[in-house]
Amino acid sequence: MNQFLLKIFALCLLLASLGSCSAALKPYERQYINDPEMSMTGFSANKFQHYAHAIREGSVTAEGKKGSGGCGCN
Amino acid sequence: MNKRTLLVGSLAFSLLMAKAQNRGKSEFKVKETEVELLYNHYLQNGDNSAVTGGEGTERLTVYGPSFNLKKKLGKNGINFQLGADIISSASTDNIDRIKSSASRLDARSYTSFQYTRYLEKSKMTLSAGLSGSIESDYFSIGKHLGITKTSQNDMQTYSAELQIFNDDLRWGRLDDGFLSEPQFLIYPVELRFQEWYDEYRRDSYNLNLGFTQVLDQRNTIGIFSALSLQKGLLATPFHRIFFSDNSRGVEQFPDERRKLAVSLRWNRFTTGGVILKNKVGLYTDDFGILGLTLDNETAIKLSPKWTLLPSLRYYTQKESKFFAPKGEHDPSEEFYTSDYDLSAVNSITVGMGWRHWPATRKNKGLHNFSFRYFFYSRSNGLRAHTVSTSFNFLKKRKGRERKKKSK
Repeated sequence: MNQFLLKIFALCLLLASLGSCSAALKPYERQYINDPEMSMTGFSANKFQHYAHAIREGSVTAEGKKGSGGCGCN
Repeated sequence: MNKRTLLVGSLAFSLLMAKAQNRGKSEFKVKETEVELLYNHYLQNGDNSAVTGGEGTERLTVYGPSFNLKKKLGKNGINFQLGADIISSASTDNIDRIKSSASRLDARSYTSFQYTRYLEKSKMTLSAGLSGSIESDYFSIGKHLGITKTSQNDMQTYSAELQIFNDDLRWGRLDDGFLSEPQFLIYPVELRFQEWYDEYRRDSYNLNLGFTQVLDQRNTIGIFSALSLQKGLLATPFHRIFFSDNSRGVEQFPDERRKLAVSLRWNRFTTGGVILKNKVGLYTDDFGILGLTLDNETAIKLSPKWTLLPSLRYYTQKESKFFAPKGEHDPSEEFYTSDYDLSAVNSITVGMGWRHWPATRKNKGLHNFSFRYFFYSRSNGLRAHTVSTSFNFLKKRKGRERKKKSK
């Protein structure tokens, strides 16, 4: 698991370094990026389905927006 | 003296002596209130209930209303959420603690409160919050601390959040009214002759990290990771185990579990008003589970007011090293489960929905509403349907003007 962690960390550093390659956008160029549908955090109407996935599968999501504890078993 | 000269000179003198109006500095705070009403309906059926050792009905219905309130005043914000999941489950009857009808009802109520503060100079948002949930056999208190930073050119965001959950798995808090004294862990009826665990608490520590990068006018990428450490009673007390020698027991897990999840996201606004939201997720833990998620959500803007929302998700999972089907566990094993949520499965989720942005008065009224349907199919025969609806109301106005005297 340590080697897996190191590989993932290296990949994240590489992808983060790509940030320095992008020229800044001017405000009038952000009409598409600022569209609500482009949000990375998503809408509340999807969150219950993500919660159902976390209960019915052995994994959790990396976005990790868990509202509370609770079993949700059965 | 010439009258004209006198007049011009008087006017010039008066201009010299005149002072500009002391306007002072004014500050406006934008007040924003957002109210969201949600309802989720979940129907499930399958034949591998962990309550009956890996075989048996998994029929379950969840009625899930919830209410979200967000208020912003200038740089301060609060988020409040209140909701309930009312659960009707056929398998719960097979625990048999209380005589019940064919499908016993249970309810999970939850709430959360969060405060955020925006620091303008550093473009940083700090957040802190508390959450809690309660059901008949579970009580959880959560604490959250978070920080999000946006770069000066608004091209990158960095986020970190720490969540701590302290859970109590004892039954009885809803037995005699609300928040009664918890009584005991609830085991299957035929296995109550002994205590199977020496712990009733479960603590979870989650660290969530995120980074997003705007690539160009139409593309954004994101990297997210979640590290989790769980300690305490990680098994579910009423999950039966049928051993190979026909003896019975309850689920047993180690008292620690470490999880790691990483996801890569790419959002693209294509020409023609189609937004593609793609995700690849990887998961691993020390229970031996490996998971891979491929997810696409698409938003098709039919018009400025209507958006269609098809989605497709594929998930595959390698089973936990503690899993075996009913009747295949050796009594000499230290840890065991027959919960098919931890088995080797594949699943597909197909979804369709829409979102409507009504044209209303500029800063007040119904902001949007959405409807989504998901069909979930798992390779071991579990099927589920989810319907989610949300109504979002928004009100914006300028706050009280505050004047400052200039020096």
